[in-house]
Amino acid sequence: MKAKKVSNAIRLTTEDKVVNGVAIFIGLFTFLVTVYPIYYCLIYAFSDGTMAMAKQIYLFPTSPTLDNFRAVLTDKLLVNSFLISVARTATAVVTSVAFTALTAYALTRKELVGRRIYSMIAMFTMYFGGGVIPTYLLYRSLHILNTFSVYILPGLLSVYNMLLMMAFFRDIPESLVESAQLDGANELKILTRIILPLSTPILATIGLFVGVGAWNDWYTAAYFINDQDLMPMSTILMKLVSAADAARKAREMLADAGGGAGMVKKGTTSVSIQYATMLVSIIPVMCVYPFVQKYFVKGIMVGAIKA
Amino acid sequence: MKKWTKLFALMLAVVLLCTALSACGQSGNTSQAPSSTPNSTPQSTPESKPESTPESTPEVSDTSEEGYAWQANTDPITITIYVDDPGTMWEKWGTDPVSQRVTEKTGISFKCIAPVSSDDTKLTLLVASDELPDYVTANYNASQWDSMYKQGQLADLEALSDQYAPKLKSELVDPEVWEHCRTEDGHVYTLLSCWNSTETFEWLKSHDHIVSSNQPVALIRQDYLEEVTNKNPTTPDEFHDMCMEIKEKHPDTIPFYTGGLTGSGPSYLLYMFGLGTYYVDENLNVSRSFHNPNYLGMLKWVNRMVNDGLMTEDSFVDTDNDKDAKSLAGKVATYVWTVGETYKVPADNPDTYYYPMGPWDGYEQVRTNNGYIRFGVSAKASDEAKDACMRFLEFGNSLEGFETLVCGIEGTKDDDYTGDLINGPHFYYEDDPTSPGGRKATWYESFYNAKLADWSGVEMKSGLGGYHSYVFTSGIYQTETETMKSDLSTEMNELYLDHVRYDDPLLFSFEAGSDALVANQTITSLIAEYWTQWAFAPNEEEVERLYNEFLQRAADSDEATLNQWLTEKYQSAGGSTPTPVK
Repeated sequence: MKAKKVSNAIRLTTEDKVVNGVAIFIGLFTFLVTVYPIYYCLIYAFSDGTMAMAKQIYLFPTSPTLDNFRAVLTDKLLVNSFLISVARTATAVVTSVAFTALTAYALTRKELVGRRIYSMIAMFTMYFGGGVIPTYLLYRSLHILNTFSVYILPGLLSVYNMLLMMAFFRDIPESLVESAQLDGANELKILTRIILPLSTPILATIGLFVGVGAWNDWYTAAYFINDQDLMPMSTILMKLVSAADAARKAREMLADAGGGAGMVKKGTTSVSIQYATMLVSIIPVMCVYPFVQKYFVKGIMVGAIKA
Repeated sequence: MKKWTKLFALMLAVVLLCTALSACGQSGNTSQAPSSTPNSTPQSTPESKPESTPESTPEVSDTSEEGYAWQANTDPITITIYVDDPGTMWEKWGTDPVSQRVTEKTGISFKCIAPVSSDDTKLTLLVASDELPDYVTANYNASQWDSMYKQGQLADLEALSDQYAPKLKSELVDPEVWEHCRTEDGHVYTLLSCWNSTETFEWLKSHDHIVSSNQPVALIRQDYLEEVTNKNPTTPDEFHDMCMEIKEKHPDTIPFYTGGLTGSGPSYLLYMFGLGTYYVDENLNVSRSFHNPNYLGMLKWVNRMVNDGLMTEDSFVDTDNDKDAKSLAGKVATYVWTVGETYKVPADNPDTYYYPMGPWDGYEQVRTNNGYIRFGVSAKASDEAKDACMRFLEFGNSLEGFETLVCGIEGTKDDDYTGDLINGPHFYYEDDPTSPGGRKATWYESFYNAKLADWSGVEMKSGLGGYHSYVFTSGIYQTETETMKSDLSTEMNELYLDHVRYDDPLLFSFEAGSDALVANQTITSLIAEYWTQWAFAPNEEEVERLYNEFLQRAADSDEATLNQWLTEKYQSAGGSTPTPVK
């Protein structure tokens, strides 16, 4: 007698199928609304600016051209700003992660006298800031205005990142530290040989936080940098966006004054160059993120629960 | 592992040392624009000389040009400038032909500080830290000017003129401009562009330039205009009927469009209904224009246009870019913008274009002669920098400066613009007894049309028109309006001049933090809140109800204080029954 073949597959009920259908729909919808804007940037950046405006593209480029990218990549200011962005991001990641690790480790050690006071001082800065003008005056007295240092020194330590890292460090068994101390290791050695090698998820997470923050930060350069050669790409991009708004204001003001001089009309390629610049600026982050993602998820979860 | 740890620690130390040292070394760095300005003399910058200069401008044989300070001293110098305009051309000084020619002729180059976003925080920071650049420019009504005056951060331009560029005061800048810019302490700390003196105002009228390229108008596709019965609607109702006719023939088009303007209020629609920002009643009491009896009529008309499908939601959400996209695509039959949009060709019919319609009977634009950009010189600038600023002002207000910054390369009347933006020729002189010197600089019509087609593109490539507003003091002579020669300009002046009037006492400068300012801003927010409700109300009765509700909320927002302040200011400034330009 032939045995009846039993399927191992779980039979889905109607309810399961409905739930799956809804989940797939939501997933696809989310995918679409998150990816389409980037896709739109892509097709616009590869289109002739005027034609894209006139034909209102949705799915495919119109009059395909590389002119927008050529404009971006041959603009000395933009190329230079890209290099500044890379330099400040790389430097900020290295220095900020290192300082945060040093501080966080010290504040987790019970032997540190006054660590509660240090923690409270640090926490205070999380909730209260001086405002733009006092910050500006402080930076001026520190002589970091209009220098590359203004990107690095004020951001050396983020209290939020420090708390995440402290939570992660506390999760490491104290016995490891004690055994190292018995073997004669000093604090720096314990940190570099024991703690940090066990903390790669949180280091990667904070590295990513700092990196993305530094890459996207336009604010610092907007107010604390005057030299065009020190502007990062995010600031240049913000400037491109603001230029349209400024043009509108100028036009309205001139209309009230009846001034004929300086009539403002936007170039039809300014938008397409804006999109091309956006694409160029997000490519590095998109390239790095997949490699750090696995650490990122683990690190942020541990930190979030413990903090 | 040990080796790598040491290496990492060493690298980290080096990086931090470098950043710290770069900060410490900053004080002597001349590239630090504001903070080094007071104590450091701008360095000679031989490298700032243009590497390659376009063909030089033909010399202007005008004896009055001799003896100017900008001619006597052409040593290379770089001065810092603040320009309140994100993405301004000043940031790329030396990359366009005009800035190259200025540097070649005067030796002066600029290093620009400009805001990144269109707020005024950057200038506020420079003022608060007393670190103004050498040459400061900002909108005529920027709130920071008052702080700069009071804190003594600006130099007296009359004294500087006497010291460094005497002809600026004695010959080049209209005495009326000096007087207009004089502050209560008797000094002149700033000069102003696009401000009309009596003489220049007369010139504008006689040369058809009162109505210029940015006069608010409704533009219509000419192919659609040919199809309608009433080609010249003179009332809102006639215009409504015309739009209905267009909608029947072209159901896919947007008959009337105000996108990019009316996101938070009626904007240019106000002019079309004879309204403005303020309303002056017969007793010379001033209030915001929603008290004008025509205001409710405008709201009902907009509501009717929306309910009849003649205006869509696009008008209330679109940006400037959307407006450009929709008009270029030909998706709108008529739209409100400025005369400068004339001859825009829609993509779906290359044989037609948009052209301004005539004004409705009730159209009225109330203007104030407020000028455009103020400019001054930092009191803490070095002597060399002050000298350079004054030489630049002198150059900019001279005939050669006018030609360099506005006109371009001179040709003869028989020449024509060849499409060469850099080398021109761009303009010629024609005889005109009513113009200074008996001749009038005139752009070749083909060059002017190229500008109309791509204003900012031509401006960026040629450099013409991007700088003059920051140095010229004349409202007419020596502005680009002088160079326009266009039948369109004449026609627009014939159509609109009767609908334009000036009422300078309506130029109000609110004091920061005052009750009047707060009330004014609250009411502006209220208008933005109610604007779309009025437009999309189901019927006119609901519009009226919402309007009354709005009036009550405006009254609750301390409107009485605002109106009292406006009235007092208006009447003390000599406000009276305004008269039309003609």
